Amino acid sequence: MTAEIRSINCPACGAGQTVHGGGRVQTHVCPYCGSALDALDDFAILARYENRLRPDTPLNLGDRGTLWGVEFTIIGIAGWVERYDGRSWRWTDHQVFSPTHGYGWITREDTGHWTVTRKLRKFPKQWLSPTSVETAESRPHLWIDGQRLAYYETSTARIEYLEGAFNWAPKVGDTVETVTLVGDGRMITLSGFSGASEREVEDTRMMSPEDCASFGLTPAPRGRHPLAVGPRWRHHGFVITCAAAFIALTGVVGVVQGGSGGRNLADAGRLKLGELPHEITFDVPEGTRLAKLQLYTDLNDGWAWFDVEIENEDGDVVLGGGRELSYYSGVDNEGAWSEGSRRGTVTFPVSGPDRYTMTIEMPEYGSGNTGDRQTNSFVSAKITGLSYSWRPLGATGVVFALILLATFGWDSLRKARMLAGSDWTDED
Amino acid sequence: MSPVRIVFILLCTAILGGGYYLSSQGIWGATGVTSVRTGSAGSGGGPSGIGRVK
Repeated sequence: MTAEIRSINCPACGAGQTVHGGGRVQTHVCPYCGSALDALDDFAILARYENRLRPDTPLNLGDRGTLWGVEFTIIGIAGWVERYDGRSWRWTDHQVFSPTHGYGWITREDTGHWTVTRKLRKFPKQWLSPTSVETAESRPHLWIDGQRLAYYETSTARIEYLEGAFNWAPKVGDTVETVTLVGDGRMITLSGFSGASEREVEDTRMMSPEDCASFGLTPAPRGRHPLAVGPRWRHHGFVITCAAAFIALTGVVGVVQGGSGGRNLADAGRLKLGELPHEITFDVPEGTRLAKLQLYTDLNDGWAWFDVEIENEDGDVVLGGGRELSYYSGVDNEGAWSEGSRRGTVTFPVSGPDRYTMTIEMPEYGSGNTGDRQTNSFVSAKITGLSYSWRPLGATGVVFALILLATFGWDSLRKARMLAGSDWTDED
Repeated sequence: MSPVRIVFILLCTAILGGGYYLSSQGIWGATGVTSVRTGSAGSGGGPSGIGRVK
């Protein structure tokens, strides 16, 4: 690629000027009179653009700065406008040139952000056109360079200002239709959807503070830009994997611990209600932390209240409480129904080794239909010793699940912020 | 592996270890009592819920 810099006098206005941009420059637009000159035909006049309004940009032709560690020169400035639904968006492209690295663009976006764009030689395996976007049922995605990018917008932009040299042949009034996708830290713009135009893929990224400083730019963003949203948290995958692994580990520990399961401490069998109150004495071996009392009674359309009192070997009451069981059933126009249960469980803390005495009493009972009618005839009681409680492990699993969900949620919010300005709307 | 990741793994291990320890102590294991008259919950924590239903 040649690095030649040519000096010419504009054939229209006579102003002397420098044509930056090397040997691939096709068009040069005189910054003084707006004449478009054909760089491939001895700078013959192609057109003349009058009543031009220069875009608000601090950069001028010939300004130099650094991109990707290489010095680039501003060779051309193009002002763009997109109008839709009574609104308009304007941005300014600055074509840059390096003798060793070719051409690119730096752009002052409508939001005040500064981005840098270069052409990609690598094409996506699938192409996305405005028509295919229109017919898509869900937000389209494309894979490029191993990265999945989400559809962002379709744009038809018009050139409204030109100045300097370009390695293509732009004309004021030309329109270009593009489809833009966004991924972590980059936007991909596709263009060339008609048979007459060549397909192009451009890669846009936010200019780094160092690159901006090298061009003397002080970005003053005043709106949202998808590239201004930070990339995915670098520990995202690790935290997700780790949290999932610990959820699985918690499950394994729970299964192993649960497998050590209950030991039968006492079984009073069926007790006729006339035998109540009834005392059950049971020995709690070392390592047993909880005792589970399982009650069953043959209730039918009624309720019964059971008082339970537990004393240790020293006669201290460690727990006194009550438990109600109720059971109702019937048939209505929706079929058979039942409510409540004839079974009930009370789990209480014990500390082995010790001997405990449990007293079970049924001081109150009643029927839902006929007041205090007794509806049960017996109660059975069984006591099982447990060496663990599943709740702390359950809470541990919940903590890991929350870490997992929070990490996913944070990334989802980040993606939502990135796509906030997208023109895609999901139909209900 | 970065220090942040090591700290995270240690934190997760500590949470799991703590959960296992509390579980093996029977903490939060008392359930099913709908009324408490007297007594102490002891080292295992108190039963949940109070009040007669009927």
